[in-house]
Amino acid sequence: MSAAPDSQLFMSRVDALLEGNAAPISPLGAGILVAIDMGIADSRSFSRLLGVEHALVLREIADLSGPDGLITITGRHAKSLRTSLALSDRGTLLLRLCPGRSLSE
Amino acid sequence: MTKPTFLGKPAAAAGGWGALKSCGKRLLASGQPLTGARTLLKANQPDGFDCPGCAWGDPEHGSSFEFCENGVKAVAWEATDKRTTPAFFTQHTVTALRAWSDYDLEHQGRLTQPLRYDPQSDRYLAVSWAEAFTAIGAILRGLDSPNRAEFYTSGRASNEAAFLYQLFVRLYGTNNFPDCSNMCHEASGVGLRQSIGVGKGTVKLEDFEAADAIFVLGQNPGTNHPRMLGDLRKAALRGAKVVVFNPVRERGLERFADPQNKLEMLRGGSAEIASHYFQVRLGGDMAAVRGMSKAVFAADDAALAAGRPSLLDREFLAQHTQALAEYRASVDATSWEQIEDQSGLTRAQIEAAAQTYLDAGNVICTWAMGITQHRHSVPTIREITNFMLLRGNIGRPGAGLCPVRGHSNVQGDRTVGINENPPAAFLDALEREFGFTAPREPGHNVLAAIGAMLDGSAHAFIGLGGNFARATPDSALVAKALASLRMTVHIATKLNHSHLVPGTVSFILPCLGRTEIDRNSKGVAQIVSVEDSMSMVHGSGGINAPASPVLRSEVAIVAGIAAATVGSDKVDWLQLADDYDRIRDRIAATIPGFQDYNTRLRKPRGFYLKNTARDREWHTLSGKAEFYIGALPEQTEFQRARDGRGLCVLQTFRSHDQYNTTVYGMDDRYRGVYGERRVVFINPQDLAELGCEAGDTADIVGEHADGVSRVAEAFRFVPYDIPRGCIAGYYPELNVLVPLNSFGEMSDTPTSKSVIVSVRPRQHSAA
Repeated sequence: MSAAPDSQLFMSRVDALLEGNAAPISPLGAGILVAIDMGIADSRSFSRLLGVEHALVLREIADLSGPDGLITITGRHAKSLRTSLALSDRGTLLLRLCPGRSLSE
Repeated sequence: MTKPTFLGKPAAAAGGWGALKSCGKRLLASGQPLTGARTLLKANQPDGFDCPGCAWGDPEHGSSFEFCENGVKAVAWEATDKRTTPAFFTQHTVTALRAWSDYDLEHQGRLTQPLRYDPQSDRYLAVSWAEAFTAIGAILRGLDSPNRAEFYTSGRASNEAAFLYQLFVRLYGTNNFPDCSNMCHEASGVGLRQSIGVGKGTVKLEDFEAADAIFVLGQNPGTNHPRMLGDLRKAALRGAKVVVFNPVRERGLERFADPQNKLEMLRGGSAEIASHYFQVRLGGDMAAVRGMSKAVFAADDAALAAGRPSLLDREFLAQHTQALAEYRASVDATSWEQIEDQSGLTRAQIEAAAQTYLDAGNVICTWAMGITQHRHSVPTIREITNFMLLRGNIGRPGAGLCPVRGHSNVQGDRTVGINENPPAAFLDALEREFGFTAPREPGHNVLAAIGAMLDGSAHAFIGLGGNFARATPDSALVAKALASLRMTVHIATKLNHSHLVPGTVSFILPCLGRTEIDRNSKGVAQIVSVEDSMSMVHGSGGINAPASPVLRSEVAIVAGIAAATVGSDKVDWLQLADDYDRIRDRIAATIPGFQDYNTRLRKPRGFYLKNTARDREWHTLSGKAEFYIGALPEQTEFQRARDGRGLCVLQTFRSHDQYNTTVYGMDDRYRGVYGERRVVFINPQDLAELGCEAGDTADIVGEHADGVSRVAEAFRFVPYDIPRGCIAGYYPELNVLVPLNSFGEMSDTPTSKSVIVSVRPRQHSAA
């Protein structure tokens, strides 16, 4: 797997999610959703791989994981605040409805 | 082949993902189409997250807490999964909880509901916000004078909360603003205002990159301001000299491993910080600094006698300073014997430090509580300023004065009006902007507030954060005073001992923490602002979901109390609390330097509040920087103790797992103490003279000559590298020994770094 196609696929799915989604979602939020679907399922891995400060990732996760949220928090380390994530049913549905295919499909 | 230990487990999705970093940049261009979006690397900065761990400047405002042990602890402490719900209080009476340690209380987790004390059951019970506000407002309105109420502020409060709070309190009719600054850097504010016309430090963070020497006095940044170590380390690595004056040998000041340098961390490597480490006696800093000035004058005399240029900045001194000749005379009148005896340093050591100063083009001097919590702390700070003036080390790049604050917004709170004796111009501006007559009579600082509680003239206490009963001197006495009040109200995130000495009516009002997302009625996340030690004002937005849906922000709680107490005729409190931009607009309209506040706050790193002394504008009586011309103290507490029989001087300080009165854990790893807080650090020779060994137990007895019995019982000895006749231990446990009636001249700061005590080993007591 080369670096360029991965990042292109990732961004194309993020773009598709943003364009096709009527619900308010930020680019960072869309990135987190797509990343979870592509196997980056904890906040610190996302932060490190995408070079986004962890504080920002945590803030976005708080937005995405509220009642009827798009993601579910499955675990959290008390000291590092590393947060494990999964797509909620709603998040899964949203990704399936958008153009572009999930790697897991 | 064995895998090298520094190679960790690769991320499951790591293969071929290197290019994702560029994707991250694009994702941060929030709210814009991604295609062709601007790729701002630090797009988060305008509404970044300000670390509540300390007030050190932050070049990469946003996630610096991640790289600082204190920051991680502070954020994790607030983000705990544990909750102190009303059900907790059904299981524990307040009386029973008083026997718990600070650590155990706070480790019950976050408060989730407003609570009202029920004297019948001796428990806190859940109450609605409306009931709480109505009751608090009724009691405050019912006092026969607004001056019967004391309004305390912790340095955690944001500019927005603090501004609204002081506005409410002044509309209510008093200037009673005891605040945590009274217990820490008040002396810096007083001393610097006298000397240079502004009560704040003059340096910016970038000055540390251009300094040739940094003098660190009475400060332990490894524990109290860890991010500062990064800047000291960088300075040391590029060849700048770091000269430390501190009684206790603190490991963090000697060597520092950069947490951001993973390889160094794994190898156990570190960089040397201090080029010189002088273990001054407690209270001897002023003598040490005067000794350096004496050495500088002598070197200058020699240079002039030899026909070389003056070593002083004569042009600066002539144009910008007042009373140099008088200062020189005062220094000449100070003998080396006195300097050596007070400081505990030799003349040769002091001359070596002075030579470092003379060799350096640009010098910064930093200090903290080791300087400010003495009887003569204001003269000491003025002496430091004198020393820096000699070579023009104020008001130019790479040089200046840097009192390092502790609480993340203690400086900002003062800027926006938390001041028991505010400048008339500030009150004039408030009156113009809000159309009321502000009280002009100076109010109470911490000492005066405690005095009013003790003499019965104070009837109510409102605490915007903090742990007043534990942070203050003579803490046992203060706890009794709080319990005697008609009403106590604590705005807090976690349970602490101050909540357990309720007045007749008592509320605990749980608030959002700095780390939590603060949404208004429209669901929009709000940001607050804080001012760091370098006068940079920047925004902070929460990053986590609130600990409870019932929590309100400090701003909203202040607004609720204000509306219930003074009504909303002059100020629409709830409207302001629903949009902090509106509060900032009102700050901009009343306080110089905040023009265009909302726009500038949202720029990377925020904005700098002008410091007149940095620009060599001196707002003093003479219009120039004024030399302090007084003598050294006739005797320091160390000298008084030495002249007594069996006495020594105690300083209180933090452990490494501690932030002010908040105890994160029971360890102090830099000092090698684990799982124990009731310890006293003592010179090994002093310990041997007592006939004791490490781990033996002693009572520490206060010897302040006021007839009050003060005993801290059962503390264990830790032999440590500290000057003879000086001992140290942790607050708040040892605050019972700090006398209320011993305080800094002109600053009223508690003298927590020079408490005269005796040490009574328990086996000796029993004999």
